[in-house]
Amino acid sequence: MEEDFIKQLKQDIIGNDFGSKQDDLRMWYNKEGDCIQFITTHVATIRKRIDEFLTLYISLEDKKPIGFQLKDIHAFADIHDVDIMIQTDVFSKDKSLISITALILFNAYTKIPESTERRTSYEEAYKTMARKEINAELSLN
Amino acid sequence: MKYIHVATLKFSQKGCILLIGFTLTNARTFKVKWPIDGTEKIIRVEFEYYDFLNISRPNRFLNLFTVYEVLNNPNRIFAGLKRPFSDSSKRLCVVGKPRYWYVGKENSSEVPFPSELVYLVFLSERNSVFEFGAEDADQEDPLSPVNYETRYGEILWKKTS
Repeated sequence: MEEDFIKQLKQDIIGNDFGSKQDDLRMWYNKEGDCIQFITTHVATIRKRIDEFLTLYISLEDKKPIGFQLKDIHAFADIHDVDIMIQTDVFSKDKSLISITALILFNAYTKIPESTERRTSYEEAYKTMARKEINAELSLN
Repeated sequence: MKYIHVATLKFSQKGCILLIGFTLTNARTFKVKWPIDGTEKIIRVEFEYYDFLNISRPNRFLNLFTVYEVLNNPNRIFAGLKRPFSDSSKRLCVVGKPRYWYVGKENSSEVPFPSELVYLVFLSERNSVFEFGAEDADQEDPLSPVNYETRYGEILWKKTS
């Protein structure tokens, strides 16, 4: 079975699908990990764990944040009163997913004491979305 | 949703084909020898995630080779991700130092893995890979990620040789 997995990988990286939508900066909700993953370029990254909710992806080359992993999404949504949005299958719609991500980042940001490194990291995560001109409009309703 | 039918067939002494196992899975799978108890563990990569990486995240898709290597040759296994509002006590973080990893989106971007980093693979309760990547190694224990002492529930296993 091991060889099958590697064989399949080797087959897929020469297939037509491989990287066919790499310019689509889609956020990804990973059900197994209950986390949102977002990355803006396809280069080597180092993970930098900020806290129990946020991990930044840092470019190995220029040491700048190029994406993030936002964890415990359902739980986080619960405590920030956006549960209704989560329950309405928003994960299938990228625009809604971005709104929720922005909302969660914003809520977390406001709860972190000012002038701390954690707060700066949340700002960096938000900026990675803004830099790519993604519609990250906050929905506070 | 995509499924794979995995049938286990065997020839009987009379030459008949016997169906002795049949499972339905919606994930790519592979087996690893689990160092904690020496048993075989089936690792999953959900089709949904596998296909997303293949199509939209070529660098990360290439690093599934690295994931495979780390899970087959780990140095540390931690349990519990300390997520504050959900039970993550059975989620695992498997840590290794692979020989190579991929730094670009081409197959040719394979380079030796930096010595100052470690590679982490996160597994859900059903041994499904949901996250992976490199992190700075801890200064005290260079086979563990930085701040390992405060971010996990417990260390389940560490390589001794």
